[in-house]
Amino acid sequence: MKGFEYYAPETLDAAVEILARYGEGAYPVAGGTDLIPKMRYGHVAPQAVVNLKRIPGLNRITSLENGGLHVGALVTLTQLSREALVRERYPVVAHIAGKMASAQVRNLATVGGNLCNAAPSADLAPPLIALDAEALIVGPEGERRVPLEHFFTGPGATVLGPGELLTAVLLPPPQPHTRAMYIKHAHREALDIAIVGVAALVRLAPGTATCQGARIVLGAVAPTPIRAREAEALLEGAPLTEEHIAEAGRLAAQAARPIDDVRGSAWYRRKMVDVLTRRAIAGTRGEGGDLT
Amino acid sequence: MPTLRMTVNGRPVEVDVAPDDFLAHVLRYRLGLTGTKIGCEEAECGACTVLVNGHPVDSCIFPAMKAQEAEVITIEGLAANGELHPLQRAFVEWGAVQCGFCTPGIIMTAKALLDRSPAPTEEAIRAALKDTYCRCGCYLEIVDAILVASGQPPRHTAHNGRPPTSPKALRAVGRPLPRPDAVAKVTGQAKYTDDYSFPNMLYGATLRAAHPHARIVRVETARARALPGVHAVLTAEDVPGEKHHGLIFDDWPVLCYDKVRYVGDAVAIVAAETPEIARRALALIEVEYEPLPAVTSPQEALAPGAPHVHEGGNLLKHIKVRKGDVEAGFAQADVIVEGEYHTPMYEHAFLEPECAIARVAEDGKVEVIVGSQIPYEDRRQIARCLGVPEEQVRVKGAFIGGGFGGKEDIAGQIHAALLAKATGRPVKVLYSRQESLRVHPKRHATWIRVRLGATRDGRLVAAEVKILGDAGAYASLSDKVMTRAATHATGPYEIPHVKVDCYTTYTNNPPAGAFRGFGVTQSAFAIESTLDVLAHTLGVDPLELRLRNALRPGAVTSTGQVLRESVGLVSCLEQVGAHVRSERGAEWWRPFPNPADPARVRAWGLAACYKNTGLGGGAPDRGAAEVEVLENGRVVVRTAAAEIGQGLPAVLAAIVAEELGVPYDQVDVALPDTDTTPDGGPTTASRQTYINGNAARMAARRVRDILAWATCEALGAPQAELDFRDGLIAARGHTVSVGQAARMAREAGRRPVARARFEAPPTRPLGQGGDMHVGFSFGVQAALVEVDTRTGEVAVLKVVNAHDIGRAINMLGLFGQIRGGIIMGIGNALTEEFPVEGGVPFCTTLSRYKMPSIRHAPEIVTYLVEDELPSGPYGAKGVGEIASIPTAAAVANAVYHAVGVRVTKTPLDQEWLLRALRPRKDSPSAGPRHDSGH
Ligand SMILES: Cc1cc2nc3c(=O)[nH]c(=O)nc-3n(C[C@H](O)[C@H](O)[C@H](O)COP(=O)(O)OP(=O)(O)OC[C@H]3O[C@@H](n4cnc5c(N)ncnc54)[C@H](O)[C@@H]3O)c2cc1C
Ligand code: FES
Ligand code: FES
Repeated sequence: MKGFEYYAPETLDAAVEILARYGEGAYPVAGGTDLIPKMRYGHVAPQAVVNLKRIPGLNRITSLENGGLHVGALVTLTQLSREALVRERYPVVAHIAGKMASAQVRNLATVGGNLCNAAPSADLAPPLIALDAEALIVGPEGERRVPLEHFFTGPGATVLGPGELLTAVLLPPPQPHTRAMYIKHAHREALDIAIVGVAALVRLAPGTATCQGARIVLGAVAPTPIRAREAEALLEGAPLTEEHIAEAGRLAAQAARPIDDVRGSAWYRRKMVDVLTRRAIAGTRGEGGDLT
Repeated sequence: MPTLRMTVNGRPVEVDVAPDDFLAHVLRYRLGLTGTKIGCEEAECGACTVLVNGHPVDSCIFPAMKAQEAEVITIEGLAANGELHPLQRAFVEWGAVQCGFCTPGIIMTAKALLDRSPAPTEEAIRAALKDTYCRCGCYLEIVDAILVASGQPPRHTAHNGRPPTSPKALRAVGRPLPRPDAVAKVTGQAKYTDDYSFPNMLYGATLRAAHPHARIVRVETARARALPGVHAVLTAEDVPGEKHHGLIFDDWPVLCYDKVRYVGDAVAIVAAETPEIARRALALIEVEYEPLPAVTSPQEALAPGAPHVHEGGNLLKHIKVRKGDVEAGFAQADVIVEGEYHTPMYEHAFLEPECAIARVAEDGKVEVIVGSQIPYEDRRQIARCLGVPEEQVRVKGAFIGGGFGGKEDIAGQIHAALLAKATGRPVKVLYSRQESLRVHPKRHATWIRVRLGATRDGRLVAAEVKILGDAGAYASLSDKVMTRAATHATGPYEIPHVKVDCYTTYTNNPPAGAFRGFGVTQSAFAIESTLDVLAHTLGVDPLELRLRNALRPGAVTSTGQVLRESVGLVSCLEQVGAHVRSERGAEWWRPFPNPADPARVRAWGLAACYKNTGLGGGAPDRGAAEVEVLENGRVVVRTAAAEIGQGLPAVLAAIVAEELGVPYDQVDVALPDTDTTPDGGPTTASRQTYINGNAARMAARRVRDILAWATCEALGAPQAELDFRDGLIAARGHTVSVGQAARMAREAGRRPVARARFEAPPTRPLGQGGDMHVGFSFGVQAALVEVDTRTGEVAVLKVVNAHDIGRAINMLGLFGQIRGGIIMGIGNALTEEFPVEGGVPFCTTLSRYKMPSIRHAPEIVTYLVEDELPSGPYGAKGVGEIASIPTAAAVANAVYHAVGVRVTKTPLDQEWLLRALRPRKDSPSAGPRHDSGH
């Protein structure tokens, strides 16, 4: 693990400048929980490593004027799981953040790292996409926002260009009468990579069981997290009956584009999308549902 | 280099660090705080956990520079003013420590939890420790220790609020006494091999084979030698003595010269100033290979025209067990059932990767520090390969962070010795986790066919078993392991007609060797599954079927051994049976739904097993121990018998304390050292309590005689009248302490020290009938599982078990072995597997090997059966392996009861199960029906 330049810039501009200078060969490092083991085993050999920890402000969670939340890219999973603002407004996010990996890893791993690493199985992506989160990106050309749904372009790949950094995730204000749930399925509880992750978000018409809006987002069953739009469309405007939920599960399973790998076959993953989608939607109605 | 300033355990420190220095390394190798352990360097195991500003982090991936200005607390900082932290005390008292390698990380993680939440629930404890691994499986003890440390009652391991005591307890024997090394382990003071370092020490590294099977055409080392900082680059030519090592056959090249036979083979070794330089040097060694077709399974190995892994063919051994006339037996059978089973390779995943340090001492001896399971055998093998007499090699033990059989073979110890000789400097050879996974022998993958015949009333009349075992590239202990698989293949039952054929072959897969259960794990899975198939075919209670055929005193085993005594199987079956019946009624195997979610179906299943104590099979089995009483009253036990977490020091200390009548904590047990401790033989075959427990007991009695001889005159009583208790020798109203007695003995011209060698009663080789083993332990386990019929997931909720271990010597250690064995068995049943394709292992990192975590630890209810073995110390037999043997079959049988699917291979894959369930989707809880037959 030798032979790279190490930088710890103290401003965003400096970080962007270094990253732009090295292009592909530069890697930002946040918690390092992904990058460091990869470097150790020679899976990646950066020319430059740019530690983002010294840049002020990136590790903060702040309330936005519109009632939404600004979650800095360097916020750790532990912070995310414990922060009152997150727990109150987006419990689904706090909940999964507190269950990922191990306590030791959660103290290091960051929101930005989880997203920029762009593993199809990254657990934060489906619930954040379901909440219509946006990625705040800073680069040589300045700042831009990209809906998180469009942030991922393939396994390990994102829309980030040379010199660009993810600086925050922006969450829109929580909607009334809306609940969400994220369920992951792994061969071995949790530390293992999800073989399927499903986030369901359902907004009910006040005082009814009729769905006014829905998001169904699937992780680990396509090159990037994806929305199951047919399932969402089916639910919209429909009462949340067993039949509708079952049908949504079936449609979500159809939307999945899983592959066979050592962790599970495509057949199994698709099957699990069906089961977990139903469980997640049903969960948003019951005790298990996290308010958003 | 930038300067790192931080506070460590309240003390300000300053060190210069590079960007690629990690906190774990700085703490361990720069600040000498070796209590923080390194098990994987991939943020997977948690052994390296320290607190940074109060938060637990994996220090192995924590860049040192990030600790700038931080407050770091390590395990060494926990005890204040010599007072153990409540967590440390509770871990000691509740037996939450076995090998101790995970302990610092777990305690630090627990401390962070208690700092945030002073009285956590069990659920919170499990969540906090999720994925901080303890391979010894002390999870329930850990939960209880944390509960107790936070002022709450223990929930899993207590009996009336305390760890249980045996009803047969004596003064020390049979009591839940903390391990003598527990305090050292919970404070981070216990030194494992990598915790040692020497001035001027060099670092070794090993070039591994690039192919599973290839001819070596050329090895070019000039560029590596030229690298500054490199002190030696050695290849096969530089091995002065024997070019091969091995435990039974010397077939394993120290450094390969003609061929490589698996991807863990060593081709060249390097010693350099730093580990980094050594690794870079490896990259400069050029090896030209001519790849050969790889033999990737025993089936392939036996096929006509298969390439030969070694000269002389691929069949390593054909093992036969014969009893009666199997065809005649099947002719008597009313029912015959058959089944075919597969178990994959498994990885020990001891948390401490292999390490050896060698140096040439002032007297010219080569001294090797290594955590080996067989210190004297290491000495023999090192000396042979160095080409020196054995006396010129000294092997010193260190604490061992788990072994489970995986530290019986040579790892880096010969390499370290060669490099130390070549450079004249101390050399440390430390494997990374990835190297450890790649190199050391695994458990044999097996393919087992069982045919079982019984009469209508459930008497077994014939058994035919065929076993195919993958020995991998080198023989290691395959001969013995597969022999054990074969001799135990018909289970702990008396069957008049038996025919077992076991073939084990060389392949180009990683070698297979010893692994807790030693072959019996595999064959128990097959026979115990088949037995349940038979039970349901016959329509008898699986428990009843086992009871009808169980080995009892007077029974004849499949190898022709007549069992005379200490056969507690029936009692084990009865106790487990009574328990499951009390929970579920007479038809205890019937499935029932999870009340909150009927798609989750539960059921019990059970399995029985037995396992020999001691080597047996005609091998001389002996061990020696020395006991010395010092003038300060402390007693020292010395034997080169490896402690790998199983609890031997507690056993030896209890026995010696018992015999000498001294308080248990007055006894110290020394680490192995071939110069100062007599040969205790291998830590294998559940033999150490039996063999060296006996040796220590004999030695203690001899010392007691010396003390009696020296004091009887002063006490004015004949020797026979002296009473040894509480560290005193008393008679007729007078007392002297054992320390005084030791001085009196010296003054009278005799050293208060004695050695004794215990030689197990002779055994006979397989095929000759008679006593193949000195004794057997027995075990019965019932598992309660829950199957999610929508996902195929299986969870083990509870394991009720009874084990006949002869006699309980140390209750904490005994229960630790039982619970830990069961948890490992659950791993075998549900999560673990070491897949190898085309000779290339899939598990290149620890994250790819799924061992059970605290989440998998079920409720465990244990019944002890103390059916004494007369030749054992106080009647004790072995317990190290037995508890991990029947678990997988018990789980598989429970799954069958829950959902009617017969599991024929481990681990039980949830996807496979879901597929198997699909046709019965509409009746997921269709368990077995006696009337339908299967
Ligand atoms: C033992 C273990 C268990 C795990 N379990 C889970 C789990 O259950 N669920 C799950 O989803 N994940 C899991 N992970 C993955 C973990 O969540 C991620 O490793 C973590 O979130 C990454 O964050 P980090 O800050 O450590 O990233 P780093 O390792 O620092 O970075 C990861 C990648 O993202 C890039 N990067 C980081 N920050 C930025 C930024 N702001 N802008 C641009 N690029 C950036 C880096 O260059 C690198 O390529 C696990 C990891 C480990 C080691
Ligand atoms: S997690 Fe750091 S050594 Fe395993
Ligand atoms: S005691 Fe936990 S790994 Fe050995």
